[in-house]
Amino acid sequence: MLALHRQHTLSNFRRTPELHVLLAAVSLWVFVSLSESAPGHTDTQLPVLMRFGEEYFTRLDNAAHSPRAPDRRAPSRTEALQLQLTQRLLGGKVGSVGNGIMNSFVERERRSEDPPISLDLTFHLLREVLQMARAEQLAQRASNNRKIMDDLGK
Amino acid sequence: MSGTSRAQLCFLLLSVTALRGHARFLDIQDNEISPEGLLSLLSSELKRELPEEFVYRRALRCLDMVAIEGQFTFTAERPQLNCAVFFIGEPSDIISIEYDSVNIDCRGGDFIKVFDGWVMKGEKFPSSQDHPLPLYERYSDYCETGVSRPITRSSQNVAMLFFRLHQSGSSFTVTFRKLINPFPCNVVSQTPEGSFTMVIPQQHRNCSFSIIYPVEIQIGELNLGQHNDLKRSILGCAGSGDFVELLGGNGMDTSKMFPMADLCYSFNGPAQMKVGCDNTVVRMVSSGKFVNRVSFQYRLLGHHELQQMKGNSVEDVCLRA
Repeated sequence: MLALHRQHTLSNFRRTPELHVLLAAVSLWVFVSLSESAPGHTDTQLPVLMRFGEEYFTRLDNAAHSPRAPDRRAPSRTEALQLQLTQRLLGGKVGSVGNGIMNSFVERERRSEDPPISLDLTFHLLREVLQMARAEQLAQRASNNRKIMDDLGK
Repeated sequence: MSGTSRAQLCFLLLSVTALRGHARFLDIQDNEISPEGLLSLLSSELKRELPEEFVYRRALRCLDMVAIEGQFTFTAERPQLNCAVFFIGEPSDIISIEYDSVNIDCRGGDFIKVFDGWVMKGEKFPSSQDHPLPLYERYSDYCETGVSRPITRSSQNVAMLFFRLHQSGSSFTVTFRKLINPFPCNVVSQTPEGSFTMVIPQQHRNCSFSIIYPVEIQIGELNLGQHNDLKRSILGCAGSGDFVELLGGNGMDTSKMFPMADLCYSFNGPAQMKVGCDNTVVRMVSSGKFVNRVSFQYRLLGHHELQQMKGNSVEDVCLRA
């Protein structure tokens, strides 16, 4: 479900030639420890794998997720890698998605109005997936109409 | 019932069924059309009783957007720790998400949460000012309440699913349905071009129509249902309980966006404005005393138009990072 495409980077993750070499040469295991798990959520350290060849980098913001008690959350210690996600949909009917970066944060700060779980997505990528969903919808409607016309013709 | 009147009744029901577009579900046996069979086709529950082969199905991706009703399954081939699926319907839809089968390890840290709205970069739509529920009630966690309450309904035409699955082989299946909302309040537009009429029928609420594109908005009619007060219009809309505002910004949260224009008097005739931001919102604030209505159209701004706007303006309120 992931396809290889050219990369985008976040504005705060500058692309340098040295970085490309480093990333290409090293497989990195990052262990992220979660701070303060909510009751009932026994989340242990999560390995986050950055693999070369799949253009797959994961950004994970650690912390417990407890939407009901945001005030109890301690400041989250974050270890960050980047998630780059590129996709191809519908067996080529729609074409490849544009590229973008997705950073997801499991926890936010202490203020109760901050969503405890959020997705860090650019508008560009959001529009891309929306366009794919619309294309899928139109294709489905066309398919349904074809079936109806076939049934009426019988 | 005589044969003639029976035939006339059948013909009448057949015509009505055909006009509703449900004639394809007729099953005619032995050239006999029973009135009971036709009457059942007029039921509004028809959609839910479609045979299994008509249900749309596909696999979900870790990052996905779904706009079609159907059944969607996610199967983790490897640990998937940060996944989200956006659901969107037509402006007059609300969304129903039902858990069909779930195979996750809640105690192992897996979760599936439905959010009533969209949240991106810590900003949520609708904003807290425009949504009837407090923030923590907008998240519904399968591990806490999903078994007892397998169906979640949104308050507007958008919803989201967040999930984390640690083990390969974990999976879940959800059914996504759209239900009719007669007075849509908060809407995210599926398209960069279109038109919409927002009506708030004597309700004390705020409603936002969000277009996640830079667009030109043309307001065709605004009816705030109150006596036009010229003095107030000269002084601006401050203090008015009923008004429409155009907002622009680079986030989802309408309370953090910049006001581009305020309209607090009724008028007919197009008033247009270009908003060169990532997100353009038409927001109506309603006191509840009147029936308020605004009709508008919008179209995508071209690249050259955006460049021209940036060149002409001294201050760009939608600065890009």
